[in-house]
Amino acid sequence: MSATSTRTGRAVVEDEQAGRGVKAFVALFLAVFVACGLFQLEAWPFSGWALFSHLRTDERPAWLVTGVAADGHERPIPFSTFPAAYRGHQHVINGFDDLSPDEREGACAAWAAEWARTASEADLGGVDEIRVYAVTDSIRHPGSGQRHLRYVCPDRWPDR
Amino acid sequence: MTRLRLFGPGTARRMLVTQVALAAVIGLRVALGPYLDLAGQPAALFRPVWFLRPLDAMPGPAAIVALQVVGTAAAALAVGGWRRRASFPVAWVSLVVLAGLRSSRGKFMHNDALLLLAAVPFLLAPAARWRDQARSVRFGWPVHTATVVVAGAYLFSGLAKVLHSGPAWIFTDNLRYVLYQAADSGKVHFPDVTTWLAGQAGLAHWLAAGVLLFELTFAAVLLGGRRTATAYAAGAVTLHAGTWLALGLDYWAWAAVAAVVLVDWSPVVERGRVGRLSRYRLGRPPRSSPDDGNRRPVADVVPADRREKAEALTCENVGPGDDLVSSRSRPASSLSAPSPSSPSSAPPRPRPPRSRRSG
Repeated sequence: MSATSTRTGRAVVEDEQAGRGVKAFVALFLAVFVACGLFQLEAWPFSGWALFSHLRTDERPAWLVTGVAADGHERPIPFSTFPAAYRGHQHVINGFDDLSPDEREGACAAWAAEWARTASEADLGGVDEIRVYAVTDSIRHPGSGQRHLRYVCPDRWPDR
Repeated sequence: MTRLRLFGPGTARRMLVTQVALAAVIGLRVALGPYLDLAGQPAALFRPVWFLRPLDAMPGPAAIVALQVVGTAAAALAVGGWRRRASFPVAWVSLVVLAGLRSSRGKFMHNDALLLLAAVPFLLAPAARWRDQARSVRFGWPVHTATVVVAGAYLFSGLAKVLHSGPAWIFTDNLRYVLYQAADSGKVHFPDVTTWLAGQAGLAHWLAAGVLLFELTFAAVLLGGRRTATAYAAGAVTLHAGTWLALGLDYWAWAAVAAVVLVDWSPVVERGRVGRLSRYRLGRPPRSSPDDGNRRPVADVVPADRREKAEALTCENVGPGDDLVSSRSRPASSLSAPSPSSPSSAPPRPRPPRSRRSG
């Protein structure tokens, strides 16, 4: 049932009600949306919307991943040159504590394999070990921070 | 003060325009997103979002391209009005999966989150036609719910800053360090601009205050009228353009969603359709209508006396597509439109004298 008026020259249906199913759907959807927003829950695509919400200071905590060659020479793995599928290594390492040693090794092996694929033999010189350092660097003065060794992946790499 | 009622009435035209625009944005995101780059990721690096956990690894390139093709085609069909109640959800699901894969590298990617959530109400939206002039609850709730989602996303973004950082988000060098870090990241398009901005301490504080104030007051769009909503939509576009410029972050989908959902574009579309119909009158070849394909005979929309004048003027019958503009807003001169129904069969007519155009 609907009441019709001619306000603004248009038929106005004012008293039509949304169906129960629609109301239930909207209520459930908005409840999840609001709950995630209020309690900072992440259930993609529902989000806590924590965008640039944490305070930045001059200290920039990060992970530094290096490969150690057979001759002991240690070089940073150039993630910026890797394909998009390999980006996000910082977030993968954030979860390292929750992974088994085999799972950690799998991630390290994937990085080493990609490095081996993209780098020339002369640049690489072979990788015997992957090391992951926690680095607290200065944003204003990069390279002045200290690093602490947190994870070491043993030499169980796929043949190159 | 015009308070938004979630289940208040809305016009079919606004709902239609909003849904079509969201479908267009979804189609662009599906077609242009960097999803193919994700293929080939080793399984050990795959960190699936919750609904992709059944997958063992990132899908291969063939599957990703197939998803992109299906999603883009479905979005195009939704824009064109072909079975929109089916094509729109298919496009939405395609983007959910593709953007979900992008978020399955360990980091929650917000780039498409607002678009996906704002589009959710339209998954159950009723079929609507341009000629529907009724204001109805069934046309109102999808737009109103999407408005709540947009307002909530910005409000919660502001709240998260307050909860995690408090006033220090404004009164410390927080934003300056964000800018310095961005300038050093290699992602920004104009690093000199970003570095210069980071060096302006006072300006950075004012910018931070402006951003936080903008986000925390975004819910005003639920209480204010059209002007308030339009102002916040313009603010959102400005904010994300600035974010792209200063930080190199791609949030154009957020800007598009804010502009599409908060602003009623149906009068603009209406004017565009009037303009198109006027061009028909001037003898230009007609184009196909993007409407739903639900068209009425000419007798339904054109009064008999004006139809006779139109027929006398054009010597053609007006056919399908003649309801491009409503009878309420159609100018009398546009009633002499030739038929767009058979553009190939109608012989091209010479352009009339310029005096008719101005008259």
